[in-house]
Amino acid sequence: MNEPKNEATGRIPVAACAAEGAFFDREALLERVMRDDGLVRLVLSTFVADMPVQMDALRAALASGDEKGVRRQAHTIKGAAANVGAMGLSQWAQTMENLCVVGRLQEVAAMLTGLDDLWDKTLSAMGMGPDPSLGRSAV
Amino acid sequence: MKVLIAEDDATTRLMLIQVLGQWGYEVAAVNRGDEAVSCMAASDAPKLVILDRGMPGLEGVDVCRAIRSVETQEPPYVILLTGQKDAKSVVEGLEAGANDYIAKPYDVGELRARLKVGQRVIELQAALVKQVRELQQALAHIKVLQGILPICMYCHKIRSDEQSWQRIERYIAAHSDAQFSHAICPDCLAKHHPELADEPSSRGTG
Repeated sequence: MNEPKNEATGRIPVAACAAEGAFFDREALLERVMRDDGLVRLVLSTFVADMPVQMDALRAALASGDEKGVRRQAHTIKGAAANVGAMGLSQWAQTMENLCVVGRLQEVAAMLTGLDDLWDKTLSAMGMGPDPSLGRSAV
Repeated sequence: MKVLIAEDDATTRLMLIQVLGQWGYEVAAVNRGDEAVSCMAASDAPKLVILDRGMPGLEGVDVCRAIRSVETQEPPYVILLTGQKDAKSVVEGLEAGANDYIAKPYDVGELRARLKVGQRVIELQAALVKQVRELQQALAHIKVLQGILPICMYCHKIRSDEQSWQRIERYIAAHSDAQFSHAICPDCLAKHHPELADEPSSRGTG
């Protein structure tokens, strides 16, 4: 929480996300699906099933030095996370995308651990992970 | 109205399919840019398109260019869905042929309003195309008489292209869609039927 935002990269530390309650904004998702609780459940189950696939694809692109692929995967994670209200994850992915645009792939790779950490906490906030105490509301 | 959603992210695609379905749109969805181009090449292709900017196969702006390269009287209305909100990206998308753009994460009210704008434009476009088609069909049936017609100063016959002379009503009937009904003007009535000239009810009958 005391870790300052890195102005050069725009990184938002994981602890800061927790402090801002930004792991999962259920209200934003509810608004986006016209307050349909059933649809919220469907969207979240799709998100939870698909996001690990996208993160694996990001790792694979990084491992093969596929700059375009890394950028696209970071972009996809950013957009998907933003649409479901997982703003911490979305901002983290945006920072990765920004770094990729300027060719700093090593720094993107260094952010993978933080991405995994954010993912776990996002799952918990959604009430779908191992630590539901972090969540503001259950799905 | 049929809408194509081209979005590689499964979650966003699902949300759009469900929400647009609830609004009454008939939704088709693909997850690759090249599939979107194939879909738009069909004869019954949707007229309203939501394109994600970053997709495998073909980027959203390239899909836009491919769609716009096809000449049609009723081009589809294309909305780019993008996480890149900077002016340069927006300008690039619009110059590639997008009609509008929506930033991710989308606002549901804004999405609905922008779709309605697209629907209005499509309906207006379709109405204009229909009117132009009707006008073209009407013009195809209209024969226009123009130029100088040689007419006999006594009997008023007209010299036709074949150098023969035709009664004026036959000539006009042959060279236009006009039809004649016969009547008697007051002067001719007085000249040819003076016994009827004082009976107003008999004048001008066909």
